Amino acid sequence: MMKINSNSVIKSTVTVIWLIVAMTLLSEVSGPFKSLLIQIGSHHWIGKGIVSMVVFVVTYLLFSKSKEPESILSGAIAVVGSAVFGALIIFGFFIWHFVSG
Amino acid sequence: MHILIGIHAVLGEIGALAFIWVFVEMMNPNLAGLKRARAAALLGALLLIGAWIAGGFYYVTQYGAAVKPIILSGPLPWAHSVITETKEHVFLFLPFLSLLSWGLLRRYQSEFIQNRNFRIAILLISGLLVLMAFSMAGMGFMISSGFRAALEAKVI
Repeated sequence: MMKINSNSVIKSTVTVIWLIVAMTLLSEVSGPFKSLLIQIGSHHWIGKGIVSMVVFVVTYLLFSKSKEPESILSGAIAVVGSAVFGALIIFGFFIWHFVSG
Repeated sequence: MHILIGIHAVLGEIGALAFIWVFVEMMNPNLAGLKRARAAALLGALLLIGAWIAGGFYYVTQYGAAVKPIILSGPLPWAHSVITETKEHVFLFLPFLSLLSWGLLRRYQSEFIQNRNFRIAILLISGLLVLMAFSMAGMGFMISSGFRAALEAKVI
């Protein structure tokens, strides 16, 4: 079985989290971008999923030969921090969007 | 009530339980425990991917046309505008976090036994997965409440 590169899988996870945050916000403020996502996946949410999966795989392959860290803790903290802040940004954006009408 | 919501919720919650299992195994791991943690993480990842597909199919084919307009016309429109919108997008983090957890557990063996930092890394990721998966269930409850409130407002 293929040996997984820890540095690469951490980097691709962080990249995908911020990509999802960016696509979420951008698709709400840009009609053309939302249309592009719809063209990719027939629905903007499916489009986001497809783009995320492709970027996850491509980023992993891009860094798959990179040097692995001595410890994975800092990478895990980066992932958890990205997920928590990314989720709060999405939540805060939709509150603002709802309140501002 | 829709069967796809049930499948989505069941797969998601069993997926969360699988990562609780990972979390517990990583608190004081040995070789046998690591093997179980790897199996639990793989199971959890597959279940969360299944929840993604079931929930996504429901969202795309049913929710937008049949549920969203009713919630928006009811007394709790934020249940869609804030909660559904947040849930559908933050959920996308979960399959990737679960694959990361499984990938790291596959990559290392004795490091988890010998090095506390490696254990903490998996504890953080699996703990986050559990909290996020259960928060999805909480948001699902709020969305259902928004739908029910809209129906009740029209009936009464």
